[in-house]
Amino acid sequence: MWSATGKLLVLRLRLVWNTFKHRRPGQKLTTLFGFAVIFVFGGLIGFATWGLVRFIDSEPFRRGFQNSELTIGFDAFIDQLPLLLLSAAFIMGLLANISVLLQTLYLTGDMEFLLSAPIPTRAVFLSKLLQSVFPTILLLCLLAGPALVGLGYGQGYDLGYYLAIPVFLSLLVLSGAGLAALAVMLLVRVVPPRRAAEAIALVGGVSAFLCSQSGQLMAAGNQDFFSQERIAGLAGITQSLGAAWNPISWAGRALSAWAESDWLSASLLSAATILAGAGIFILTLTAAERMYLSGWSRLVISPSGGRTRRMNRRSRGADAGTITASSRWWSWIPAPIRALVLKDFRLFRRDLRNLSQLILPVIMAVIWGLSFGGRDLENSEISNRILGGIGLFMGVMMAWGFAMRFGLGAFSLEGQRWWIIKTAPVRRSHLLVAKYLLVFLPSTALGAAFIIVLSIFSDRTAAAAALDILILAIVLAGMSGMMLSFGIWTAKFDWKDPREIQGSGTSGCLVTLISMLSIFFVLGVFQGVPLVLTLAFEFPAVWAYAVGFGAGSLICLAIGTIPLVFASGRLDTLGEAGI
Amino acid sequence: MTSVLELDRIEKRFGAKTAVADLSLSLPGGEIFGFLGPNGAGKTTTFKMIVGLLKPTAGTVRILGMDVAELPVEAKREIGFVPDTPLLYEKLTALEYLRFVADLHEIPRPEADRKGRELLQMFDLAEVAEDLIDSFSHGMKQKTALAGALIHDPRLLILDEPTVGLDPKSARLIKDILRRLTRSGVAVILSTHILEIAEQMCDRIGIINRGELIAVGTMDELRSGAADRSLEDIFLQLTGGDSYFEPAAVAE
Repeated sequence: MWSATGKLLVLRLRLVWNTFKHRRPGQKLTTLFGFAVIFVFGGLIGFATWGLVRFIDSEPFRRGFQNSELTIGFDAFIDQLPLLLLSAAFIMGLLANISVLLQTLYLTGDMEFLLSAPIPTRAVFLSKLLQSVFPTILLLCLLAGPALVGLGYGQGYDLGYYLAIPVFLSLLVLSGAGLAALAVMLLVRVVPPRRAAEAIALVGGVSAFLCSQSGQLMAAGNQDFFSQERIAGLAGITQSLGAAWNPISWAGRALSAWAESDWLSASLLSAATILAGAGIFILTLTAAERMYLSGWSRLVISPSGGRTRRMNRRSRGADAGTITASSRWWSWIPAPIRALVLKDFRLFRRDLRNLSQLILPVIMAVIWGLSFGGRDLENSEISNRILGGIGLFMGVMMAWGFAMRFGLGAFSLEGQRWWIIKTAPVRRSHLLVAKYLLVFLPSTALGAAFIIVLSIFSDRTAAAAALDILILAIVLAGMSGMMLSFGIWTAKFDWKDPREIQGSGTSGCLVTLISMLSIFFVLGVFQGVPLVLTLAFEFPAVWAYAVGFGAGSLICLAIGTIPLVFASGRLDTLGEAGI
Repeated sequence: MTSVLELDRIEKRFGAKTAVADLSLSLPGGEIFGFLGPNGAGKTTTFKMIVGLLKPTAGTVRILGMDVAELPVEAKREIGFVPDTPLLYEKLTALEYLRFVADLHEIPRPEADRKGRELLQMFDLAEVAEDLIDSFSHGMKQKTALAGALIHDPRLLILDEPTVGLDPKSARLIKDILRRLTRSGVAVILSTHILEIAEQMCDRIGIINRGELIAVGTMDELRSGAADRSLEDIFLQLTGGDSYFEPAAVAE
């Protein structure tokens, strides 16, 4: 079994190496740069831990601790910090591996080949498991490791502590992977793997974003990040994690014991941790492996998990209704445009992995809306103007997030189905209009909804809100053209997961930079020109606004059409490289 | 009489590699043309140039006299294409997919719905018309793609390996449909590795090897006097495939 596992792992390494070897020089450099960034980031985490240690020793934290009526002492809390970091690594390993293992164990194309080859199923399972958890282990060690090292250095821990870090981290992540494998096996018995992967992508994307925005969320809720309640909560969590029955707490305690050169406790606790970790890993692995083959068989027999996903009667009725209605109110739009727009919205709506990307700007809208609603400004002309300006800016930014995702992915969304459009008698202009509407309509609708809600809560007049929505629509009209142009330039059709569609690396950064600068500039013209004309040149307000509006609109027209004219020339040969 | 398909010295190069070289062919309506060749000979590249997926490096593709490069939309209205791998929008239902293709061809909705349901019925897919394509087997996807290629009544049907993954009933159905279509003047060009299908169904056969069309004709013309020769013998002789028998004999 071990020999077969080894061969499969070597095969995987060869595949990775060959993929890297056959990349273009630029792509190779980007990959190497990515690795360098991870290493540098790991180093930065180590240094940041210094800051953490300094903060823990700071007066507000100590005061918060003393006032919080906790049963845990301050020094004991410090001792529990390794445990906190190990627990975080374990939980992250567990969660990250669920998604990775689902993909690797059930949704790769080589399973039929491997399972029909004369090698033990256990070898296939083990090699798949190891090849998927290894990058996670490496990543977590590169992130949690430096934090633990930084903590130890800050607290002056002994050498044994540093030597034990990689052992415990690997062990915990491996145990997490074993549990994740078990969870995946159970999951695919209830939900079809593809659907489960989509749902996990959605939940993962939203959770990651919420975590990243937790500071803003607390600010929106007027909560102090270092409040007594928060410190008390943190200490409470640490205390619960330190319960004697929890094997992770044995690892944490072992690390603390190594830190203080308490050899006897360190050895005993380390032995217990290794036994528990290895035991959990082996047990979960055995259980998961038994369920693997039967789960795979079910997948092969019925790819959709035994149930075909039939569109329900209500949606069929609605569809039929839409068609009837469409023949009345949007029949003037050419049929290919209607068909393309309807198809794209359906694909976006039905694939949860797409929604995971689109939901982020919506969450951002809620967070920013809450932050904005919490501000108290005087009810004066100036404050109303500021309020309106900020509201418009936020609306545009919200919509920009949407436009960027839709625009960059407008053509790539077709993927390997691009042949259907390319062999159909669709005019270039129809295709461009359809994709343009895909970018413009939802982003403008989101931005307008945001402005309307803000206006209701901030008592702005309907006329002011309508003017803001008009400006937003004009700005978005320009941005949609620009984003669509980038979408044509960076289109890629060889993806397997729609999350791979978004422009990455240099092109992604470039698009973000150019579009952001354009937004600042255009909004500056729309809002700034009238202000300058009225204040510096004493223009009548109406004329000043008209000049600003006209200039802004012309600029939007230019940034929307010029790049699109250049990019549309590529449509004739688009996708040929991948065909 | 105007040919439905006319290839005039088309060529496709990918960098230094020539995938298709100086290929000319004329296909009248009502004919089934079998396009044979070893793997990587240039069959799929030729098909992709005909349907506009690839731009020829040189030469002209004409559909009913229309140059595909100059009048792509008009030419594509006359083509139905099914690729070797039927990659469809998996999150659409079969009926939604057919409606979508019909809309791209600007077929009025009531007619599209009627034709769509007829085609699904014909391909035994009526029961799953409202199911998402991602729940379909390979054969069902193949049949859905074929229904999509037929919904606009094309004058030229291009099928890349049409019977791969189909059960005998469906394969037979496709053969019957193709015969019926040719009776109404549709030209069909298909590629296959199953030489029996080519021998039984095709009016003319073309053999391509290393990008060059090395033989074209009816079965009788290809046999050129030796009546007992099978298409397999002719194919292997022309493509150099018979040289593999020698090492095989040595191995034995």
